[in-house]
Amino acid sequence: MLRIDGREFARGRSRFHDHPENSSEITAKVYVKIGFPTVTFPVLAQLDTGSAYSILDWEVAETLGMLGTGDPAKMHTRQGLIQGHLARVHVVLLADDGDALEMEDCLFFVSEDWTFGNFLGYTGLLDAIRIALDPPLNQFYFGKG
Amino acid sequence: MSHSFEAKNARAGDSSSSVHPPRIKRSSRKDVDRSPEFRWLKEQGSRYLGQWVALSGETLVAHSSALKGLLAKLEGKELNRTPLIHRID
Repeated sequence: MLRIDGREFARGRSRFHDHPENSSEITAKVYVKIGFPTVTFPVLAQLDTGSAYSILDWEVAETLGMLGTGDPAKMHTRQGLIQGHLARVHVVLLADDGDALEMEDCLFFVSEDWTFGNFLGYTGLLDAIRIALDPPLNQFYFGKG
Repeated sequence: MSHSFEAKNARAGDSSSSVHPPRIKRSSRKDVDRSPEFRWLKEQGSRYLGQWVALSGETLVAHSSALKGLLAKLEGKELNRTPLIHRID
């Protein structure tokens, strides 16, 4: 799949979306496809190495039966402090080619006050795997760390 | 976007909310190339701000202000590929 200096780096690849629909958004974002074991459809999540933790849209969490589970937590955002809880989520990085990655027990913040979608953050998720982006071709490579 | 986070036990070694590495394994679960869906989002997405959309190829299968409503609309529909679900922010 993707090799660096002759050594395997990643065994999964998927195309990512990078065009924000909201015209007030001036910078491109990287949206990758994720799935969950209990639902068949994929959803998009923003890849954000600048975000310490991952965030799950509360309506997605509700569909997964994860509302109200886990310890209470608060998050400082550009809209102020919001209340929520921490949920342990089994998430799948979906591949168009090669292997998907199943990641169990990822810690996600969930709050009804969060309206910016799903985020894959650094701590406890991206820091556990290998990732690479090929922006000219909109390709996201990922592999087991 | 950066966020900072307060959780009583969000550090290694504590309770159920401790941050520890996830268990990771490879899987054969596949998705398809979603270029047609991404093209739709780029060209039509701004018309559906704040909505959940279900896309199958370049076809908008359903949209709703709530994910539950969207999933209800999808029940019983026969599609040639599993729809991509996205809320347009």
